[in-house]
Amino acid sequence: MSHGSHQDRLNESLSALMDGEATELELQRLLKHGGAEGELAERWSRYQLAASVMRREQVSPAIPGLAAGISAAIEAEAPLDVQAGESPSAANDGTRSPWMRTLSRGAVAATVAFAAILGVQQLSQPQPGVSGNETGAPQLAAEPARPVQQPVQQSAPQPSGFYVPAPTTRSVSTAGPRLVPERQSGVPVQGVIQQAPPAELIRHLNRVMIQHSQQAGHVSTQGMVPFARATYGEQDGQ
Amino acid sequence: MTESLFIPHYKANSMLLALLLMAPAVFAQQPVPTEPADNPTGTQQPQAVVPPTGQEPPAQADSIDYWLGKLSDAVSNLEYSGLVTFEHQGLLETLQVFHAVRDGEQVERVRYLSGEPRELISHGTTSACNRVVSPFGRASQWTSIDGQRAGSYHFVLRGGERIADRDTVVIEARPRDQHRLGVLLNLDRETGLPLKSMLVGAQGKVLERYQFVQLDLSPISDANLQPGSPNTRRIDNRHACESAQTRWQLGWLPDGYQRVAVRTLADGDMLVFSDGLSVFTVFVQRLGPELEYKGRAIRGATVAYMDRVEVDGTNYTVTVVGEIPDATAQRLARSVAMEAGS
Repeated sequence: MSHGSHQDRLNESLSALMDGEATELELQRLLKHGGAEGELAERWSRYQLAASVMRREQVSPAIPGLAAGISAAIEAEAPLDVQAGESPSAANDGTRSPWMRTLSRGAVAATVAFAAILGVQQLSQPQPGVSGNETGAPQLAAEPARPVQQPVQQSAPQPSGFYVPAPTTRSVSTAGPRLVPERQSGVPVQGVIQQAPPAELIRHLNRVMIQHSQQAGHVSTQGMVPFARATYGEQDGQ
Repeated sequence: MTESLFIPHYKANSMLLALLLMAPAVFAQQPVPTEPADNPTGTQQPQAVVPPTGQEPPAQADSIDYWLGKLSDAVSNLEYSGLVTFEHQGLLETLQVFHAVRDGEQVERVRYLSGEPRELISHGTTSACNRVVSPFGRASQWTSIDGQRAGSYHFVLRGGERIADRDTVVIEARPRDQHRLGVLLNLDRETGLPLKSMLVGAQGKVLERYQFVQLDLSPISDANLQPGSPNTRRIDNRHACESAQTRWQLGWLPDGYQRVAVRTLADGDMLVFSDGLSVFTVFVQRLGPELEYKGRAIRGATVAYMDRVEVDGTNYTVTVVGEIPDATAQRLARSVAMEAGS
């Protein structure tokens, strides 16, 4: 039993898993006789292609049919779990059945885990230079528009490996607010505020943000979302 | 013999590969927040909409109108309480919210569960007030005029998701221009209440997320509307819909926004604009010279842009605050002017 044929069977079972057609019997047979290599390779590359298309979907979502097909295939995988569990005597080698059950369960659970990680990643990608701080004061940021600051990470998130992101929220930045005045302003603004924003300015910003949020709670249909925002800063609203 | 040695190896490898293959597929099934920003003009046709699971008649369940109407009704008239997470730029806050209706007015209480103990109680919003300016009231007009082609947003139903142990319908509001943020809403299938709300900025960046983790639809007792902390801020919104006179106006206003309220402050005026989904407020105040500042501050999805305007030798501080792109805020701030002849 060479390592190469072991790989073939691995590929085959994976393909079947993706197709949702990996009956226990089929898997048993494939495990025993690992033949039909060409067909296996073809199938493998098809799924590879599909997977890479999927990864690029955010950039050029041009093949919805394929995506839908794969989604459907994954959904169709659920019966496998049941089937593998309920027909333990179908094969000549009964010991594999538990393995298959474990495998499919593991795959489903891991799928969920991946979804969670991706979700977190997306939300918590820090925006350089714009982070909350402990005092609740708004961050003052440089003039360039927000999008300019993060050109790299915005293509589809591709998990390149396993890593556990830090808990969903970043630890609170201890850096003070950064205050950069408008550059094209003809009048030179005091450079000192670069380091220490005037308390009046921070107070003003907090106040207008709170007033805005309170008002927004009643002119839009956002429910109570604006009240969540109204926690900004200290309480010296009017 | 040999085979039994291989089995564990086989299993581990399979799972790893299965993971790598399946993860992208799973991700693609989720709402992809980059789309509203990447395709503001809606050039990409919406993906096939997963049909709702059929409690509603098909004509209704498929209709954006139906869901937006339900949302508009729910946020004004429904009594509910629950626990909510609010995330913005990596910060997570937790809140307990109560929403009740007393004598036709909304009473809302928010307890902030993280950080300093503090509360907010808001009285006096009438649903009639909301209705006048409700974006979703107008949304139904938008969609009925010209299918979904009118209005500032392109609304897409994106199937379902489970939030706070309840089935929700996902609605995506894609901005049609760069002057507003995208919104992703999960509406409770039963009541229409938004259980999750995300603001999505340029390039699909999620700027903030408001999400229930637990929802209770039983009526709110009066006791739960009383402050439980000495640190309570009260808001009286009985006059929120009234518009005061103002001499200030905007020389530029993105399509779809309109002025919905004007309030007079001790040191200036406050003008509120909304396109139905997003709101921004323009403050024009006479403040000290230390506040003559040009620049912006960002907190989560909220941007504040400060500028100055000089009229007849007097300097006024202009601050545009809102959940809008900062370039929009900047342009708005620069367009503030005093009405001629006043």
